[in-house]
Amino acid sequence: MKHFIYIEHNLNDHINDEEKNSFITQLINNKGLGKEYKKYIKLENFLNEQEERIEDIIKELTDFIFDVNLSYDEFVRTDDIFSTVQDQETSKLIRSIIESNRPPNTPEKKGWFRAAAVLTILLYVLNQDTASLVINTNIKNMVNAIVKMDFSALT
Amino acid sequence: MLFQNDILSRLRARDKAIIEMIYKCLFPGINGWISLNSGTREDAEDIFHDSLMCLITKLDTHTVQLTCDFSTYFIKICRNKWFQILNKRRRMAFITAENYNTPLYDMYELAEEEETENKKYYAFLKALHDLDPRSQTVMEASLNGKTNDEIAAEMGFVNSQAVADKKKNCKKKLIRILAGYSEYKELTNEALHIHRT
Repeated sequence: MKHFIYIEHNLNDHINDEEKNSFITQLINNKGLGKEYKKYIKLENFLNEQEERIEDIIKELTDFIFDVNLSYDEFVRTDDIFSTVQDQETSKLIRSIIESNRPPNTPEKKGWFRAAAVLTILLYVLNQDTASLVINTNIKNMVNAIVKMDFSALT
Repeated sequence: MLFQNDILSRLRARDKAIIEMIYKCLFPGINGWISLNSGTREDAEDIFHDSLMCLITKLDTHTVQLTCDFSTYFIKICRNKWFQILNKRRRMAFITAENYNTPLYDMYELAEEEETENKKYYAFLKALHDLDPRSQTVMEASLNGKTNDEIAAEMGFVNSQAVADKKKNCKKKLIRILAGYSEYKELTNEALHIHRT
């Protein structure tokens, strides 16, 4: 770029008002300079955008240090993965080791279901103006059964 | 006890026992760290797989000389891979949010934009990689959130103002490097083309 150093000097170094005005005048009159100036600003914005994105992610991570060479190396190498049959076999081998060491899935406890069922019945009890002691006892048993998840008691 | 070079040579030979040993020793730590940093066990498994694949394929073509403990080296690769994934997700989220209300939004365009964003990130990484070692270290420290005072103390600068000047100088160098890349020129044309359609 023809005017690169001139633009760089005006944007980054300490310049006096006279230099500043001369630069602005030239920007208006010289189309080539104007075009290169826009490109310079675009490049500067591009750099800031990339920097900000990386900084934001690093801030959120704990115990992580960004390494330029490692990141570059890994980014370039990502495309090479699985290029050969041997690589695909290696991939299968690693996957099989991961799968064989994976802990068995534990069934999810239905805590929310239990809480919702108990709450519904309690609301029902509170709304009963004429509920008898016997009915209340039965409802109490129902609540206990749900809390213990022992549905055989309901039959 | 295994020596570093034994681990590498056995990895090169795709020895199942050594892969299993690496998994048992290092996976819990990797899984813990990824879970702590907005990931899941599945993410950790993918990262472990991809990192080991990267290392093994690298061993096939390059001579790897470890300058630190194997576990430190491997964990560093895994953490870096997770960082790349988060960065990619962030780029994708940005593209999706930008295109959400566009009527002409389609998958092809989205894939094209993702590719452009990847190329942009690559151009930035390449420019950082091509910097001279001292400028690279300053930029690295700055990206890692270190203050100018901290950088001055660590790298022997006179004061924080000297670091600020050095950073400014580094940016100038980066802009010069990027301006010379044919990839960046293509990228800006591509970006303009996408924007116009």
